Amino acid sequence: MTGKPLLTYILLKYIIPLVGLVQGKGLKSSLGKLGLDVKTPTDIKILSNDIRMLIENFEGLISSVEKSEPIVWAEWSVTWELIRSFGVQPVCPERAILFGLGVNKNYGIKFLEESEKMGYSNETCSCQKGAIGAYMLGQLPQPALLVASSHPCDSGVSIYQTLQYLTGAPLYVLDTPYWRTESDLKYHAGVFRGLIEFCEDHLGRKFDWDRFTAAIEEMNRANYYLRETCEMGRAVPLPYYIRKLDAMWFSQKESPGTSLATQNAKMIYDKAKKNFDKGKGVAKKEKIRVIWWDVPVGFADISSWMTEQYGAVVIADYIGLHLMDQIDTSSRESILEGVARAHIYHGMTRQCHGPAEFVTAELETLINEYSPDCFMFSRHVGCKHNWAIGKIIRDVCRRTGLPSLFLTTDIFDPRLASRQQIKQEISEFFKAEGLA
Amino acid sequence: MYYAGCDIGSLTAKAVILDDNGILASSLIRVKGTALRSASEVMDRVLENAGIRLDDIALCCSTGYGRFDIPFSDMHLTEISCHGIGAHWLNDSVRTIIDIGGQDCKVISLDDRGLVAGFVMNDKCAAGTGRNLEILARALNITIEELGPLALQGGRSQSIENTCSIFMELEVLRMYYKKMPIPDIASSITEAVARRVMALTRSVPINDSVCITGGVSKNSAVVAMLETMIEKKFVGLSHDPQLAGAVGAALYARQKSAREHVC
Amino acid sequence: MTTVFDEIGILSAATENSVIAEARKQGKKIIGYFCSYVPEEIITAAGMVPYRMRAVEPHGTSRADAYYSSMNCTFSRSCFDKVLNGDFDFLDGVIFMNNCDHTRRMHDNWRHSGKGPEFIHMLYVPHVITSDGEGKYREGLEKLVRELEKHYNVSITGTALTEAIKLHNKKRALLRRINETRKSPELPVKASEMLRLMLSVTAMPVEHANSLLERFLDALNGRNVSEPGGMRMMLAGGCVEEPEHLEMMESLGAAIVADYICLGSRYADRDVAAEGAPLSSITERYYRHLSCPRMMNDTRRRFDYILDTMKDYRARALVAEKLKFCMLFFGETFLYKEESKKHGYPLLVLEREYGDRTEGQQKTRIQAFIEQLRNFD
Repeated sequence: MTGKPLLTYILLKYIIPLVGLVQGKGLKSSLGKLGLDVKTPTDIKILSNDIRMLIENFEGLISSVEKSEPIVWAEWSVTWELIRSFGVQPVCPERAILFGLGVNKNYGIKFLEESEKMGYSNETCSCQKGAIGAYMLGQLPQPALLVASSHPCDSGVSIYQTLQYLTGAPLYVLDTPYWRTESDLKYHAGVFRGLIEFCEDHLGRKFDWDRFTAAIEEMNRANYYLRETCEMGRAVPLPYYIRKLDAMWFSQKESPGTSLATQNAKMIYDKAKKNFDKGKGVAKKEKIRVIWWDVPVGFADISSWMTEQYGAVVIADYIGLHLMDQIDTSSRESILEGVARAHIYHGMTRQCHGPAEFVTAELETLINEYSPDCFMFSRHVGCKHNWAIGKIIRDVCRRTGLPSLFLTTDIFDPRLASRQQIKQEISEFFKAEGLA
Repeated sequence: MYYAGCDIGSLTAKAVILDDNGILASSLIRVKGTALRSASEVMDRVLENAGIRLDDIALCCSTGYGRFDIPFSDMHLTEISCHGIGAHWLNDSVRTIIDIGGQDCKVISLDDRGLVAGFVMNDKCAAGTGRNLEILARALNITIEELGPLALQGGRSQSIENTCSIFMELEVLRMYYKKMPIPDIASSITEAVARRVMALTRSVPINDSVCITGGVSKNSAVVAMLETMIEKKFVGLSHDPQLAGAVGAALYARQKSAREHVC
Repeated sequence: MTTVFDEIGILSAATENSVIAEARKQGKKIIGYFCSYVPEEIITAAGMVPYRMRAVEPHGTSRADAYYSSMNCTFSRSCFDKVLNGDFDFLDGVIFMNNCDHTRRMHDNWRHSGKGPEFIHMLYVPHVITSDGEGKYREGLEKLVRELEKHYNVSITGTALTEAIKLHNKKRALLRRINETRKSPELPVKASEMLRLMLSVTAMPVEHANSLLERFLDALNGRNVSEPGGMRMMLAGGCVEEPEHLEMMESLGAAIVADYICLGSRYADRDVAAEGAPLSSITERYYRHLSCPRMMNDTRRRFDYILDTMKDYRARALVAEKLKFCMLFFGETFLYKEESKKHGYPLLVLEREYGDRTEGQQKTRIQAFIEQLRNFD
């Protein structure tokens, strides 16, 4: 144990029991923001690295604005290693709502209301609404160019045309194939090649292949740890905490190929491995194992609450299940093919592009191999393609005998279904199914 | 010469008779089973109030959702156009109208002749309408008439977050069972409804001279809340704002008869 | 005496019209397809009849809602409800493409339902117009040709494709000529009639369609359906497929003289080049025809089309429609608002649901918009 983390750990060890006595939500919420789910020095170190990566990106952004250097907007599903190899700072517009909600719930809602003022309706994805609202409120820097994927959904296809129109910046589309055949991956690799050419033309900078290769090699290391960790999810009790893996989705997207991201991936792996070897779980007493399908709720920590309240652990969700292959860095061609594959296999894109089999096959693997007790489908309103295969998913659950709960949520908009409502539905489900 | 305007809405039916000098008579009733029954009854009443017969009417214009089904109507126009010209006639400074009816709410922008320059309406969702207020008042075991004065007494301790009227009702019931003071809940309801209307108002610019019409214009708390939100005071109309649509319809009937603009 | 207008009234209202029924009796296979990116020429060259899927004679969505949800497009749900009801049992095959989330999931739901036909194919179309994308699209068409040949034991030859191109080019040319007549101040054809015509000619063998189109064009000579005070407008939107809805607009004084809708001018945009290898020419035309909002790098061309068409057809205003939950047309209509401010044309955006018979709300908006336009006269 090191000095500072130990001190914080001791302080939290005495603060945490006091939280139960705290009546007011404000203080409890603030402590949560400090890291209420932080229990050990390793957790503190991971959190500290997360914050450092975030700060580095923000500093990069501020510096770019101050020096009038180009900034690239990279859509939700686009990882940053390629763009950073131009020496430019990317920003993810969809993250604005997440930050807004994190700072203060009403601030995030302001972004949503700003887009609604412009005519965006309730059923539009709040990620995209948040991006539009944030831009209109001057909370996003002017982009030099935009990079977006054609998946996972129509919202992205639509919103990036709007963002291009509003910002006037050129848009490059990472056209994502429907399937994953060799031919599809070759096509997609060509799309990434095109991205490099596009960025060279519009940024007036040369692509740094050495930097890119080094980043990919570092990402490979992190992805190895993440994949191995997720494989351990088969163990009962669950040796890892899904929130950490969710956070790694963001790290691998926005700080890919950095030593901090790899450190975090290794620490998460080491901790999970230690638990796995000892047959120990992250919950004090694991009672329920949950497959959470879709993206976790962004405005409330539902998984921690489930663990505290019911001993329920989330085995996997869309973004916490890391299934990246190692990228072959022996040649530029193999790197581009690997990056193309990685884009398709990135959490959320992986499940949402293409046919329903990409959703159900993964779900069935989890059901067959990860010993779940129940399934929860958060049904984010923006994911119309998920809403459209309700029966297909229900039939998988029915066939496998897995109790299932279909929620209606918006992952970033508490006005649709509040934290209390979501918790209430989950509580009732657990009780009705005899799980609690 | 007499001209009639008949506004058949979702909760109330209104009728106005104009002569060459102004409003001769008016009437307002709760709607009956069909648009025709509502129109017939409200017209009977207004004719009785005016002391004239249907045959004495030179032209009748109908408006509102039930405007197509009125056999004694000679013409029909939308309530948007009618509210516009009606409110403008009742106060010629009006350039924006917020109309909150039983089942829909609208924001209408006018030019200096009282003609519609733009509009936006929400009629797919009950949130932000008179129906929404009725449902929420009923959840508290109070009448819609009691809701406004109670809300004015209340503080606002808890915002209603949900935007759907059905889930708003659940939130209100939760507050009620937690024994929150009724005036405070009433105040929260008012704020939530006003916020829904505000979401609409931002699509059409609110001019300095804005008035409120429709049944909800009689809810003093909603009016006060909206005034706070738009940071302007509503201008008054020389007659009951709930009749603005019927007034406008009668004006259009008179205009068509005389073939001249009403300003 | 039955006029051609009566004829299209009957044909367009039926899921399986009499011409399709007759074609089946003659042993022709009927292949359903979604979307303007599926080349009809390939189906015709296979000796089959292309049938553009539709949701006429809707039964609501209660069966489909077991698969879908209330958060999905009502056109897709209505169409799929008809599938589950057996309305499309006459089809021998269906070709989907990945146009939107709701229809691509119909491909999944249809297969999951176990309802026939056996041949249910997904054609991948890129979301961008690029030369690599064209190559990818071509690959998809080659795969489609192979699959059709294998499944139906037919041969789709270059000669057959060339012949099909001629026929479908003729069809598109006739449609363009009919559309051109709407430039006239004496409007010879209503938008509701155009839609009935489109519903008819996209559900019959191309030869029959061409004959019908020729008779239709003749019937327009000297015809004038203009109403006094009719407000000339352009209509834009995705699945605008209900003639009754257009009739309602026309009854309120709208004279829709031009369109940018799926079953409208986009269908007839551009011919397939007669020279060159037929599949290459087909690829080029279908990939690069006037796009819909699924194409992410073609926005400006679509907006310019609207501006130019409004000018050409002297449309006073644009009415843009979207079905609820359609994100693609949501974004598009959102940008129409920006365009209308920039270029100064009046715009009405309508959101509706397929099969929505509660017209009161739509009537109020449309009528109010027309009244507002008349205020400027």
